Amino acid sequence: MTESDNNRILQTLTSEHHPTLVAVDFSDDSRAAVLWAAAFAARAGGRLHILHVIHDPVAEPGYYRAGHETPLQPMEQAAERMLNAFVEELQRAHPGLAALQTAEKELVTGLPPGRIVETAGLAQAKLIVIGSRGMTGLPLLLQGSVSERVVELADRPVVVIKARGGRRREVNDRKKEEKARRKAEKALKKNKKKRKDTTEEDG
Amino acid sequence: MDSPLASFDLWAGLAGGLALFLFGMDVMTQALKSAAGDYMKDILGRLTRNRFVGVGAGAFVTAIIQSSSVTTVILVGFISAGLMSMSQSVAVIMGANIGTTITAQILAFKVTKLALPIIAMGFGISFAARNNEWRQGGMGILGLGMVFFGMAVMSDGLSPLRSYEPFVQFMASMSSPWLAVAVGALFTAIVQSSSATTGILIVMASQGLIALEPAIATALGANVGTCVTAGLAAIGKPREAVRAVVVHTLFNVTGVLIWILFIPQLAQLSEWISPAAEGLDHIGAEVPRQIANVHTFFNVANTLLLIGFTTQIARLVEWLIPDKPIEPDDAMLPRYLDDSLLGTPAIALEAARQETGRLGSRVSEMVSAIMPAAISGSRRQLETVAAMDKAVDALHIAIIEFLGKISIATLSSRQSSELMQLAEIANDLEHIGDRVATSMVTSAHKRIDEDVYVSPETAQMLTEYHTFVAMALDDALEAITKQDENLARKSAAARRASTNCRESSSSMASGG
Repeated sequence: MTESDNNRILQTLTSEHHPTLVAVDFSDDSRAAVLWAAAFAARAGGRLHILHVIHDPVAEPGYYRAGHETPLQPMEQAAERMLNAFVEELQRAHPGLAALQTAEKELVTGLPPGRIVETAGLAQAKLIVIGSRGMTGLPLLLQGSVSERVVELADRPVVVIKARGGRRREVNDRKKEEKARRKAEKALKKNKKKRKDTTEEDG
Repeated sequence: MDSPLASFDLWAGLAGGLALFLFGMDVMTQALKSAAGDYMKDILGRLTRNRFVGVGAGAFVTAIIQSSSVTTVILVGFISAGLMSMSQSVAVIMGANIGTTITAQILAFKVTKLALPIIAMGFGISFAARNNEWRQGGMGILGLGMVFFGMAVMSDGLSPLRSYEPFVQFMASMSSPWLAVAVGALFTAIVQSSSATTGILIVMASQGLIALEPAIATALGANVGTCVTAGLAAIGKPREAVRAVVVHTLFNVTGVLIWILFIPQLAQLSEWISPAAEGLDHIGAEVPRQIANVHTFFNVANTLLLIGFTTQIARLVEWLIPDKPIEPDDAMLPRYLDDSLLGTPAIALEAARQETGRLGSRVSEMVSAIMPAAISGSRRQLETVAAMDKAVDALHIAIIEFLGKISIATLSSRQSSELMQLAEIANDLEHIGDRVATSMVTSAHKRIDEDVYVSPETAQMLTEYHTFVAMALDDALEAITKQDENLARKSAAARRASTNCRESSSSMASGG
């Protein structure tokens, strides 16, 4: 990299005209990435641009349909709802982060790594911020890492953020939630049965 | 005696029988799509994250409409309209291959004798039916009868070939499995129906004209040829839809490449699992069922072998077919209307509903933008709002034209009334857009021309009223896209509130 390239990058990083682009997939790591990007944008100047690439994960088909009451809703609508809810939740939790309150949201359809780099180019972003799920071993080999691919493809600086505990914590949390949900469902069924038995006895 | 190949009866029987078979398949598929469209929409729409459920849904839907190509074409339409992802479609495509084997299983019964009674029954039901569902059901049965009758005609036409030496020698040369696969693939691609290929194989086998092993290889070829129909449907479609078709092709070709090496073993297996027949013509009686069984076996086995690799197949296809560069969203172009959905009216209506929702969003944006511009905006702001009506008009025309295309199909009474409602909603939305772009923009220009100042009190009153109207519109739009009665009631309540607000505003204005 030449001296002029370095100067150009430094100028862009502190320019008011170039936004900070953060790519999110609604995970804990994405939350951490948005907070980091908002704090960075506040210091470096420029807008915060929050991007979600609509892509049904090959390992989890029906991601945008999960728990959805109406069949055959466009995925884009579901993704829009998810992105709005995600950003609003962060905005409520962090009212002091001015860049987050005025952040611009964008949805693009396609394959995440390429689309993130392409959108960053179109938005003339100063840098790309992305969360890393911290996958290793077989899952990494089978599913591939979006953040690694973005680093490979990007023509501008990329910051990869990992939430504390990373994927392991997320998986554990999900397991705990699932266990609690099952327990609650079981208790509800038991109660219903009890109530039915009591009504029959009364009858 | 003339050679059988020059015989008029042979060619007439073969061509006429095949035409009847294909026409019957078409009649049956169209009727069943029309009768079962709503259920199909529900089955495919409620797919969970579970790929096994996806396989089941694909097999079930295909078994009902009797064509894996139709299922794949419907999937291409769904994906193009953004209603389903390629990842979801992989399991459904695998299931479609299993569902299509039901046709061969039915054809392997001695069905030709039943052809005419079934045609009579189907016609009777269709003729006497009072409602559309029964009429379409009757047409479905009539179509099935025509398929069977087509097989009977082909079978009669082919019978002289049994004693024609050159033909027997040609069939012996088909012992090369690759040649048989190529013949099966080519024939299926031309007639665009794998069931026609397996149907002819069953007819030939029942006449003793083809042995089990070349028949298996030809049936394998049919699995490759059937991909052509879906391939044609994906031309010019978004990348995600093209990927689904490539998954279909990869899956079927890989399956054939695996099993082509094991044709003798497949033949042995099918002889073992199929019932034996007695008598002189036992080969003609046994082989059709053996073909049907082996067809079912390798399609089920392919799915079981490859279902564990759906992630890898999908990733490979994503690598093979990269994204096109991002194109700016053209607000004037419809996003959900896709002509390939027209074959299934229930699904086409759903797409029209989503596009109407999109039209509504554009109108809602106009309604939101006009109030600040009308009270205190510049001429430029007003022109921007007026320009938004162009996209509204373009989408409105596209929706009405699409609804017109849907109306040509046979619709149930519920679908007809849904179509009329959607047309009315689209017209109403376009009227709102026109009202904003003409009346409100004109009034606002007049405000600038005459240099009228809107007092803060009036502005507040107008804004309050406008908020109620905008809320009622947004709730109504959500009620339309989600088909939610509670939201519709909420919208009606918001409309009443807006009426009250307008009345109190006018009484205040007249009192003041």
